[in-house]
Amino acid sequence: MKIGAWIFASMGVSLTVTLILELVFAWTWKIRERRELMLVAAANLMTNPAVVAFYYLAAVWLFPGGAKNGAENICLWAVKGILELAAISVEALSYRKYSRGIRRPWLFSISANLFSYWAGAFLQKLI
Amino acid sequence: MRKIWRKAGAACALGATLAVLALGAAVIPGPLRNFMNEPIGKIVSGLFPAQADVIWEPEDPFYMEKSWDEDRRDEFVHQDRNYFVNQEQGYLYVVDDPENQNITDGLENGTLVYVSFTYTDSDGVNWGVIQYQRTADGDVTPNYGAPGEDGAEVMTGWIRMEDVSLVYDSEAFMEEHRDELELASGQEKVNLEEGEEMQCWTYPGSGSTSGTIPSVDDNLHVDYLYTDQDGREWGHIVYYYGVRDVWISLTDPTATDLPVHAGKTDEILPLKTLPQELPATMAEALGEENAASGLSLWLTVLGLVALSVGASGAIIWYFHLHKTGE
Repeated sequence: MKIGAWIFASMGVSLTVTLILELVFAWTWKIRERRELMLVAAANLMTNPAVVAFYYLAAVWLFPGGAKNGAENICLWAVKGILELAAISVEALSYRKYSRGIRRPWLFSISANLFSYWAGAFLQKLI
Repeated sequence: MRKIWRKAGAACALGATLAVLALGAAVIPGPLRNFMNEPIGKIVSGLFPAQADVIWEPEDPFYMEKSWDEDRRDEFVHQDRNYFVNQEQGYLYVVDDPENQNITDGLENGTLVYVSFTYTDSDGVNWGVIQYQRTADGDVTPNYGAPGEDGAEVMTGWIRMEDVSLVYDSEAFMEEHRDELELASGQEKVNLEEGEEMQCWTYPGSGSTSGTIPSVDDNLHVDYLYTDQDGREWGHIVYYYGVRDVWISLTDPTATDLPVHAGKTDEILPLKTLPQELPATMAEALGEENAASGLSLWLTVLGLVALSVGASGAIIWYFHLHKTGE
């Protein structure tokens, strides 16, 4: 895999889709206050670009020619998993410290991230 | 259980019927073959994936591995055009695949190559796959799957499309003369006397023939018409019994010596001899330029990440002040 200008489009699309999905999820979690929704948006703005950038940095550094077999693909999945866990933790801690309306910040963060990840993957397959 | 056997039997019967029809289409000549081919073509192409369409494919490992992956097939764009090597440095490098870019060979300016498919890598560089043969004397010619002539080694590889110039062809002609083309009415006919053959040309005024057609029937269809500067009318044939993408002179269908008004092709840049030792990779060949552009890209990415973290941190800090202020 080689770094190219495509990474900017990838980061932009990922952030936009994530923000939409997470705000929709927050809405269904009955988080309707503008302040709380802005906090959810801010937390994702903090984590999503970093996760995408570091994932591709790791992929290019580990497998410059692209993952060629099952083991290498599993390795990339592990990198993705670690980054997602870090993102979930940062978001949960932000909610815990600064939110007034999110009662279970860890559960909310895990659920929101799972939802946005799988919904995003599903949308990508559709397109 | 009986239902399963009945369904299996029906499937076998359908398969056998298709096989018989296909065999019949292969042995029965002329118009009847065309009639039988159409329903077969429609049925078969509906049952099997697009890979079954008759498009020549190179025996290139990267192409064969990736193009058979459903998710990646669309990354390969069918070209089916001829180019000649035309690089400023006097030659180009051939690589094993567009991702690894290990240099395997070099071709000097003026060498004719046939590009069947192109692929754009993650840097946005457009690569074309070629299959060619190199004789013991070093002559390079396109190869279309046959064993190398006189023991010539058949090779495949990828070249950057920016290193080649297009050989002016029918498609280029039609693009250039788009406003002068007229749609054919479908009434255009060519009458040949016994013993006469219709000449096919690469494009009007090319001076280059693409073979002959010994007889014509009602299946000859012209889609576009063109009148050249001498008043001669030409017709474009998309397909006629294996002959594809050729032009015929409707005014003088059998003439072999027509005025030449060749299309514009890039001038061949001076060729230079390939270095004795080829660089290992394209990155090495291109020098440090690639490394620098990659680094600046990464710095920009990390800068954007820092910006987003900073902006969100500022928003969250505002909330913190707002919360503690209450």
